Amino acid sequence: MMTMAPAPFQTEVLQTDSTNWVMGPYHPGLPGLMQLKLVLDGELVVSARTETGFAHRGLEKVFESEGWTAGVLISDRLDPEGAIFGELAYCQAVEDLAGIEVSERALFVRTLAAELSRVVSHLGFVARLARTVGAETLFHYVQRDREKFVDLFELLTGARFSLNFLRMGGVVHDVTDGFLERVLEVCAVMRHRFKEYNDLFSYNQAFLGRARATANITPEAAKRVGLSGPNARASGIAMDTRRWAPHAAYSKLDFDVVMGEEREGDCHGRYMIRIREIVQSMDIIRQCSEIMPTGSALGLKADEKFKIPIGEGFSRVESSRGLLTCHVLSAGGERPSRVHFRVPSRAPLDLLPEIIPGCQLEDIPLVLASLDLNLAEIDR
Amino acid sequence: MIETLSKVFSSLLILQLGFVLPVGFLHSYFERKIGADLQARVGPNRVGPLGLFQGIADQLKLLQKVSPELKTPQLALWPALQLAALHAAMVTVPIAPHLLMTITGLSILLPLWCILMVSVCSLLLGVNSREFTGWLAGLRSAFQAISGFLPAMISLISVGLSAGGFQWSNLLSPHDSSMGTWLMFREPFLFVSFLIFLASGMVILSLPPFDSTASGPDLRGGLGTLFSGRRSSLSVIIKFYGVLVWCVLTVGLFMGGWALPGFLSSVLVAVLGEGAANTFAYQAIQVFLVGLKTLSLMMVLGVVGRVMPRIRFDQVADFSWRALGPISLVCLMGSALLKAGGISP
Amino acid sequence: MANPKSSHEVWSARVREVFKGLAIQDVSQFEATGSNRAIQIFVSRESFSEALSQLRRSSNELGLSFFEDLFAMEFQGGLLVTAKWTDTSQFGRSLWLRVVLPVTGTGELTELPSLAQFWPAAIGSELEIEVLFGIQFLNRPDFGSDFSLDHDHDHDHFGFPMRRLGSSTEKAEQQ
Repeated sequence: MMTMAPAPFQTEVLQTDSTNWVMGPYHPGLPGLMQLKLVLDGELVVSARTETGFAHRGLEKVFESEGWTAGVLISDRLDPEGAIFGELAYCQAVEDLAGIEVSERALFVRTLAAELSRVVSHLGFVARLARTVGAETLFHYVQRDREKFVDLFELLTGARFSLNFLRMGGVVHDVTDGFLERVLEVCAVMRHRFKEYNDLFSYNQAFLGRARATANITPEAAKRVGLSGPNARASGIAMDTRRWAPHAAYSKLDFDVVMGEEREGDCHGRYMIRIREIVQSMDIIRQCSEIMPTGSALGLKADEKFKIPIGEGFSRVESSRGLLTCHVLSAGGERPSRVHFRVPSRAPLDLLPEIIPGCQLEDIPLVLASLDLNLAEIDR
Repeated sequence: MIETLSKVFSSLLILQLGFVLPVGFLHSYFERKIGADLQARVGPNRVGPLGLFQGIADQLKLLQKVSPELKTPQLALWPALQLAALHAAMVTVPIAPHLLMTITGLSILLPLWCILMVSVCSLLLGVNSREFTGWLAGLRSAFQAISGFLPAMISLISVGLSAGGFQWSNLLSPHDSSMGTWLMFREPFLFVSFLIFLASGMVILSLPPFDSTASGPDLRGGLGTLFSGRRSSLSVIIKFYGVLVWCVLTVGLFMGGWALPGFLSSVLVAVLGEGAANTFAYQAIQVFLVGLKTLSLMMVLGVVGRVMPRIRFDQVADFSWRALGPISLVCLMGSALLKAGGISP
Repeated sequence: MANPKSSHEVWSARVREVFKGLAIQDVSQFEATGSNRAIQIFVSRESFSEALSQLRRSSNELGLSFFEDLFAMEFQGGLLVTAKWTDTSQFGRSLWLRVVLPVTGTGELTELPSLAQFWPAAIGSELEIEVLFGIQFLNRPDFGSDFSLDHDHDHDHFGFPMRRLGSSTEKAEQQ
């Protein structure tokens, strides 16, 4: 009888290669126009590269072809949410260069506007973060409250986001009667909202499970890339430009540097520090309202032929995202020769290739949202 | 044969027109209105009185859109199979005595298999999507379904054990069903089993907050965005059907099903006579009651989904394997001990 | 408590001493309001590397732990590159290292050693300056960041947009 030889044993090989995936430049999970090139092992990120420049508008070049006053309009396009900070940095640099005095009242009005901008920016951060993790209810609550602050901008300047409010030497017009009272009313309402936010979201186990110990930024990594603002303070670096480089009226106000409680530098820490900063900003707003000096807050009414003497000017501002500086060069003409901004969003972007590996794919939008990147100011 | 077919057809028609459509209509309206209220919004208020017809308008809008060509023909097959599985489940769940078309010794397990079929089709849909995001969404769906299936199955076994069998007739008392006699209130282990069963359903069906398969920020919407136009309306219907089947199943298992409360049953018997249970009015009220309970349960799931942030899919699976599974086993043992000890009613 | 002004003078003197021996063209105070003043040191291109090395060795002692900025601009017929370090804990302690790179037209590349190899915070600025001003930073490390306007992406070379030297814009301004 013929016997058949047994079939040779064959092993099956399971394909476990890593996958390359590119997120962006258009992707709902990204904070703006950028690319994130990922190497994934299943759902775990192995490595990441970033690419920016898609939103490059040539903003710094545009300054060179417009007059000095028009520069205010351009600078408030730097960060659409925190328009005042770009304007403040630019105006301070030009005032520094030309030796333009700013009245006390104007300093306080600028500080008030800056802190309102900070609140709007941080509330926008909370709303974006909530939407990223599917907390739609909190998203709507925060947007409802943010609208009240944006309405204050409309009351003050006529515009909601691109405010065009500052001028060299002051502001375009003073606060109107009843504005300060309205601001305090809105802040009073806002104070009650935090309990709602905390009950609903801040200490929700589902959110904590995703945000705690995710994408930790150590103090050493923060210092290495020049991290500033709430991201740095969440990692334990006590750095607030309003303290070490006081501008506007901050030297006359009483406030502490808000630090993270746990100093862990994770997503939850970065979220909580911004909640605390909103509370601090409202306290600063209250102080500004109480001790607002009398007098004129108006800046120079300048037409296109306004000239600044030859020289350089420099200023620093603590924007909602961190240290924002403006360096201005004048050749004595009607337009700047060079305007350069150092933006705070660049540093957290440089950290992404370091903190994203090891995260789950589903957590990448959360990590990006927690860093509060602004691609508009990174690319300019 | 013709008589059987006509009976089946008329039952299906009554099922759709008398139960599914009204529940769907009310669910689409109240879920959006209550969800909007929770989120400090107004909700639908334009189409029809108080915005009642918004759901219909949305479906009509989707139906009039032309769907683009599909990348692969299988992308049309899997949603069709999902819908077929869900329709098959509808005939095995207890909505009314004359609408229950499948009576077997393992009746209460049949809908679970149909729901599992939906998850299998989601996996295959993701594989055939030829997109990385679709592939991941399909895998996540399968991952969650496997993890949610075990606690659901164990909860079902607890129910069968307490009821003395896996037929609907064991579970649903034909006469008195006051709330106190509902299975979920008979003993604490069954109440916990009820909660586990609901949670497992949310995991298997990827309902919020366990909806990482449809996560927008990372997967650009997952499987739901594979379709547009008319096929998009199909995916909405499939999602609704999945929730409906699970809630009807839960109502039948734990909340008394179609059995009327004692006082109402007595009134109807007094008015309609001894054969009241076979009259149209009696059975219509039974369908209405099941619909009311189902709708309430669907509202609760909707509210939970609106309020909770999304949980990552591996954390969901972790939760299922490490929490729902062991607790459901403890409940099964507890129910068994109570039954064996003669303590369970 | 020490007089802050005198401690700043002491610090300034120490800065001058650190850079002694290098081909320094100018050391001056950049006067600005409040804490925005800085010591600016103009070095020659040839001694830029050495200046960076000195600064690396002395940054702890000088307290210049924070790399603030790196940018370029046209200045006196060349490209002025400015790198800024600052001490965020002390009032007014900032150091600017500045070097002028002579260029003749708009199309030529020029070079500098990379700062990002020692101060990773400079990487973003170096990527931008390379594309917008045409200043190549030698031995620039790769930290995983790309700039989409980079020439490596095979875009048609569009010149260096932030330069005006020799361009039609400059000629129009001169006229």
